[in-house]
Amino acid sequence: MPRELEPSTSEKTFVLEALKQKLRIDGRDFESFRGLELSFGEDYGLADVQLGKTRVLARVSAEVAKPFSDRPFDGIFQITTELGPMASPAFETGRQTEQEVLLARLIEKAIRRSGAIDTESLCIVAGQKCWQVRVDVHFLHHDGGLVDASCIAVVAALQHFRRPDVSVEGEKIIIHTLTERVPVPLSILHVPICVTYSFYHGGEISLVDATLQEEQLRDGDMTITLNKFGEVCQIAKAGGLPIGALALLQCARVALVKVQEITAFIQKRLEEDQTLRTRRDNLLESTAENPR
Amino acid sequence: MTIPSTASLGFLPRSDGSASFSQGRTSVIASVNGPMEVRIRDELPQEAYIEVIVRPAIGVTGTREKYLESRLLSALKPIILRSNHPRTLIQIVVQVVQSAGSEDNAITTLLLLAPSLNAAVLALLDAGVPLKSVLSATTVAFLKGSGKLIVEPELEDLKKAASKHVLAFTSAGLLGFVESEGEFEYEDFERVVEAGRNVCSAGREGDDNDTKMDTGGQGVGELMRKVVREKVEKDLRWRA
Repeated sequence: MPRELEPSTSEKTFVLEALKQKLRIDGRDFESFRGLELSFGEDYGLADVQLGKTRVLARVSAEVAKPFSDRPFDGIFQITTELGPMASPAFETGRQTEQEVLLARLIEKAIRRSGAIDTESLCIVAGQKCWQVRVDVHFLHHDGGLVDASCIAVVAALQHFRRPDVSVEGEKIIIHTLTERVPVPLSILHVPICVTYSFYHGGEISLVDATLQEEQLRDGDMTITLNKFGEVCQIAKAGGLPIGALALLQCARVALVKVQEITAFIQKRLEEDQTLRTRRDNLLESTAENPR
Repeated sequence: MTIPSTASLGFLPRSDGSASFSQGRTSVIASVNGPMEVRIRDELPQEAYIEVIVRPAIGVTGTREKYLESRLLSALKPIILRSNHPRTLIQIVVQVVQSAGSEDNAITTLLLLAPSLNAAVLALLDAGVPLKSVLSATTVAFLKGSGKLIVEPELEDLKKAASKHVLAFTSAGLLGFVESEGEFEYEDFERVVEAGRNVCSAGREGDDNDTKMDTGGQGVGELMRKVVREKVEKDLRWRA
């Protein structure tokens, strides 16, 4: 398995020297994201996010399961992330790297542990039956910013997802198919979005949404997760350069603006998709043909 | 209402070759890396080691994915000129994006096979891996009572079918791969092969499309030829 190619010395000096002169290789300013693209699949709960060249696919699915015995009133919500050789030949299947573990934990902390989904609403019969919602994150192309991109993909897919309706009659539980009853959306309490900062030159320079090359050259990094109300869900800083408290506050302030922009963007795309679906479904139902 | 098949090439810049293929409600993405460095235990002294990885849309890799991997490997291994790149690895990754039904059973697995094979072949072409020939695959369902054949069936058709066949043909029209399930007579199988060959044939260069119109749209072979031609034209436009 080939290893990830490290930037050459001249590339390194060039990038770092350019950063000193307030320039980034792709011409962005320090506090801007790459172009964000979001599209939804035919099925409910399939979101395809492109952040610059980085491309992530999130897929939400739900099935009925038995709740954990210590939490009889809660449904089950899981996020799985697996880096495969499709994203980059350096990633191997079946063996978890440190990067993969950190990524999985970060996404888990940002979305599941921040209570983005109301797990109690996933309960069908206490202690007996509940919905198990799982999100599978597939990385198609790795060009830095995997955390930010997968977080956007997961929250977008969760908002797009519809689960089958359920009715309980005594002991009997009926799961209605998607055509039988209008499927219900998940109850989402807030939408957390991750913003990753990369630090250079002893913390003097901080970049938002670093590319793979910039990620390889950074001295330290930090991920802040916020929702649009400005509530901090988590701050992750696993080693690297120490950062002053004031710089952290400044980062959080900038991140809030970004988070609000991204949330609005996701909302806009969701509404577009919804109008497209309503129009299509209504057309499908309005045929004049009779069964012969 | 049938959804027309679509394919695209070369959209993942990090991998050497990539392609997507969707047929009906099934949609997959394949990427190819190689020839590249191989793990020592997999190294073959006289030929390239071929690795196929299938990743499910939902959940983790299980027996279904292992089954698909082994089928794809047996179809792809003979067409790759392995001896051109000894002591290297050619890695094919197939990512399922959407499968036909929500349930996991033999039928939905079978429906994944043809699109995966097509996407893998297109990705190999995009990566420039030397091939002996190009395979294009399709699914054919055989209904016992009426003896009717359904080419590229939907999930509902397959549930009613007595036997289901996944067939792949080379561009010369030779049968390169078969995976059949169910009961059928030899004569029926011959008809199935003929129907599959019709859909998979690439058509000749400069063939008029009018003659194909009555069969209802484009066959798999033609679609694959079309996307590859478009890609080559786009890549070589600087020469014009």
